[in-house]
Amino acid sequence: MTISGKDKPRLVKPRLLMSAGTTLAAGLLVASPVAGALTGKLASDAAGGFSAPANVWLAASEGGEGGEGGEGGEGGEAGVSETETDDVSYLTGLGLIEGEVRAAVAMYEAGNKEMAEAYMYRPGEDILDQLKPGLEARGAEGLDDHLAALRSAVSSDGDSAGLKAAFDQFLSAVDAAGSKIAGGDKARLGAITELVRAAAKEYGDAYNDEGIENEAEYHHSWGFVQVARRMAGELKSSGDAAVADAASTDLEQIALIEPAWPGIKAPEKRPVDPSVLFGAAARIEIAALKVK
Amino acid sequence: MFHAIPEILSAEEAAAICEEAATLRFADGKATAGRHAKLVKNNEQAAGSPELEAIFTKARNALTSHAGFMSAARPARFSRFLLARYQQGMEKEVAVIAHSCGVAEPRLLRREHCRIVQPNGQTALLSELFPDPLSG
Repeated sequence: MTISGKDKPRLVKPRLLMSAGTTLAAGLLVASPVAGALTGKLASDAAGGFSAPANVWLAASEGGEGGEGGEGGEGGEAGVSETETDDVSYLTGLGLIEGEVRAAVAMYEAGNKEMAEAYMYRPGEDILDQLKPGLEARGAEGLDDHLAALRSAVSSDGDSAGLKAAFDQFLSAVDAAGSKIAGGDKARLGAITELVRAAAKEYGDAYNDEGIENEAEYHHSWGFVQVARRMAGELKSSGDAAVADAASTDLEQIALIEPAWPGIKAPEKRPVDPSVLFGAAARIEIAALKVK
Repeated sequence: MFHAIPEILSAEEAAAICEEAATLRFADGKATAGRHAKLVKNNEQAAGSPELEAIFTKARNALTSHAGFMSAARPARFSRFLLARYQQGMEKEVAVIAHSCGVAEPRLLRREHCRIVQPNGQTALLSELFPDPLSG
């Protein structure tokens, strides 16, 4: 598409304003009554110093101060849609599959073979299709075969040893596929963010105000956090101090939200509000963004 | 006139940014002001650090992943972000907002100066959505 004339993209100049207030709002382009309130409210809050959460206003201004150059824009949040070129998407896809397989194995071990079989087939139906271009681009094919072995094992009566062997081989294959990225540990930290965010969303969908509504979402969120914890645990011993710090923050945040999953069996009432999980995901994201 | 777009950041994301910002070192905002802006600028700005850059990246990602913002602003690029805070008696960007709305100072801003983007993409005056209870 060609953009020309008056439709040409224009420069916008956002300013991130933070008040020292205590109310919480987020928006773009500050609204007049709130701006008026800012000056009045700040006067009363100033003595108390900064107390989060505060008003966060992303404000656009024209003209302004000399000596400030521009920056290029950034892409949006990584999903699992550009696995061929985007390492975070690729690792997130791998993590989602691993999480669902982990949930399936846990269900099998808990004696729920029917649900285990259902979960074991799911990755091949959706996420894997999106992940395949990324696997092929990195020469990491063969995950299909390991999933087939897992499905066969979980469908075989009483073959827990076979399932364990297939699971170990699958994890090795995921590990090998994950090692083929070019983006390094920063991409891994990004994938951890996406996995925790995915867990928060699934967990939120699992419960309504009355109680458990969709057990599958609970089980998958459990699996995604297992993977996020594993990945963060591996990065904690990184020789790069910034990566190790971010991984430590990740593990702290994951420990904070762990009460959401007392076990693979979904509690009748949700133990933790989903907003706590989204808060942890946001802190994990900021920790990852500190790493160059 | 300003247009407010709700939910650029979720409440949890805004809280996480505020927590991170609370750990930053702030300095006199005049340090980054031009010759003329120095005369009126009166705020505190966060000093450069990896933590600050992380906040900026988070804010920039939130903007560029927001469909409403992208369709309305159509940004080719962003200028450098600034993170400012205000103590008692301080003002700068709020005054800029007031001036761009055609009033001399922030205290003169009224609900009529703001339009809120609605779920259907159209905007409505804040004064119509939330009339001033004292003006009736």
